[in-house]
Amino acid sequence: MDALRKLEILADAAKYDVSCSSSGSNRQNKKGGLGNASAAGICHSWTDDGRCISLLKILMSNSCIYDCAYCVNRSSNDLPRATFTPEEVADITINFYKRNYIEGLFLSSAVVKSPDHTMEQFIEILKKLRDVENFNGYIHLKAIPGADKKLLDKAGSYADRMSVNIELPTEDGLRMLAPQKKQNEILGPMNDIKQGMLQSIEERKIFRNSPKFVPAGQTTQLIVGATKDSDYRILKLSEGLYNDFQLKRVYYSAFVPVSTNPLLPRISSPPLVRENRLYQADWLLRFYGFNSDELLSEDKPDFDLLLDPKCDWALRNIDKFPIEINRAEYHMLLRVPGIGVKSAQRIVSSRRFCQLDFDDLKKLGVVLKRAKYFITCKGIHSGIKSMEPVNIRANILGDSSKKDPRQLSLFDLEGGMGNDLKIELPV
Amino acid sequence: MISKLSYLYDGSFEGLLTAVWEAYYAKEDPSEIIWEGVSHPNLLSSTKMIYTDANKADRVYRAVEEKISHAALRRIFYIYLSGEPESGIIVLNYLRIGFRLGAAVDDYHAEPTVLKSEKLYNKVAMEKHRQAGLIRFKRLESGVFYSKIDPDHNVIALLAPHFAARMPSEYWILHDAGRGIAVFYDKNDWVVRNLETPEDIVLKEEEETYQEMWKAYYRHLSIESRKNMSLKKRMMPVRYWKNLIEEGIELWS
Ligand code: SF4
Repeated sequence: MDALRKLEILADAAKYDVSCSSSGSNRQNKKGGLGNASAAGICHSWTDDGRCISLLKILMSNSCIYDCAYCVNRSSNDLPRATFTPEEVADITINFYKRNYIEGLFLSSAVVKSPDHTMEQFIEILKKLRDVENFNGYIHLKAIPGADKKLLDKAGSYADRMSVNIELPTEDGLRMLAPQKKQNEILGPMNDIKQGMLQSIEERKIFRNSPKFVPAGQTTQLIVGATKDSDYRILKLSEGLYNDFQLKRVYYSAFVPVSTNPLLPRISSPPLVRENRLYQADWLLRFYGFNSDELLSEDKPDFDLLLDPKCDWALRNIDKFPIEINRAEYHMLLRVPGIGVKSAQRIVSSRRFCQLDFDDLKKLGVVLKRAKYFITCKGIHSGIKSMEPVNIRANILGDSSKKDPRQLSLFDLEGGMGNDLKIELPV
Repeated sequence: MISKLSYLYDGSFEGLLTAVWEAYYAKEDPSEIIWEGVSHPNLLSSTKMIYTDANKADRVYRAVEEKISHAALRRIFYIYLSGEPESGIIVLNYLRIGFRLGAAVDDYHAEPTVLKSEKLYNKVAMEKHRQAGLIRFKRLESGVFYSKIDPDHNVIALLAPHFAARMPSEYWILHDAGRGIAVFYDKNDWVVRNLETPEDIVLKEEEETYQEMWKAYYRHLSIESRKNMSLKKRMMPVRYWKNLIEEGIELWS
């Protein structure tokens, strides 16, 4: 089979993996080398579904010895199989990179023969790229659960980012749908990677040239909607991963029905709105100072599909509003629906020069249609008279009901340009 | 009727800075500063030719850096590169506020001229960023990597350092065909020179293989059930598609 045909099969098999961000690593080029990893991700193209393409994202192989129910590559599925040689992966990466098609490589794989064997092949590829071709571009590697720690360490010394996929939010889910994987085979390596990173940071304080270990940090991905787990459980899990494992990002991937296994829910299309809500909430955790218990609870375990999480929170806390734009503290500005991180910053810096009115706010990028219910400007409130949540809700929904929530996705400079999925940011 | 005053300059950055110097020292308030080769002044306005003077330009340049900030310098350069007819007057008015407020000028987002300058700056910065990704090099028979682009704004010089850092060990040419200029890189330095569209571009044999692979990769990446062409077009405006290899798929085959 030629490399072109393999590429077709192995790109196809990797496409459901959503975490393609290329940001977070600054790898300077060395003399005589090729490429550098820049902190700002660069998108090289966009797919028909509107996702940014910045990396060559492929599987090394789709010949899996495991049989996870939700996965196209499971061993019991009948489909064409292919496996790249290390030379082929390195050659395609280098030549794509030189033509400016990509920023680097995102390499994952099915489990070929054994977890260890798969990791060993990965290391072959990384050696070819880094040591032989002098390639300094970005490399994101998926760690294979169950592989030996030594192999993991070796790979981590070559890669910019490593990730271990959580796949399913709970141990129960894993047991049911991916019985060959164990939660500790996932969390174990995650912890090892974290330790490796901490250790390398410490060493670099003493020896400036000691090698970096996964300098861009680790990420993970989990599937939403293949099990009955609530948004609350998922968000709690993410919060824990950010706090305890210092993960850079958690990616959520709406379950795409690829098999008719009776254990799987019967749905006709992936739960995209739910996926979007989780991304928005994730953003609120990381950049807006929210915690998961403010957004959801045991009593209200799932997000409102019609209203974004921030709006929903504001309506449940209507007693805190309206706030005066010219006086409110930054962290409160961030909590106003219609005000994003960037516009909040601009409000704070602009009001040093003059008192802001509604016109100014519009210029600063505030979405007044949303914000007006929750703010006053020089003491003036221009929302609706009653501060009753039901009424405000009705008004907001009236405004946005014409739009398909998927179409709302907006390209916002403040998220850093064009990393990963284009999602609607919580403004 | 009070007639308006138009400044005409030669289209160079030095020329624009000289115009700023003129406005300051002649205590004049031009209503437009335009490039003589492109725009024609209004019949009702009187015009004044600005003769580019490196010395005056240099003094304005240094004044901006010292009295405002390095960021302001970059901002006016980007605005200049936008090539928009109103860019000249925006630069002048922005600097006027800048000389009053100093480095804080860029925080004054609610001020109309500052806001306009920011928008125009962002447009150019955005295009530079987009082009950094959308440029496609083709390998020529000679081994040189060649790329033709048609950006809205004059951004090749802004892109050159990016590619010099990315591909230090290759020869490459970045060609803005519409403006007839190109960046040439010789594994050490880059220069901007005039370049008309070369007639006979001979590609290296391997080139086709990698183009085919890239197209195949691209085709196999989209998830049908998530198709969203309007999102795609917003992220990657159609006017950029013509120089993309992957976008030619439907057109050529
Ligand atoms: S181990 Fe990975 S590739 Fe193999 S079946 Fe499970 S999810 Fe799919």
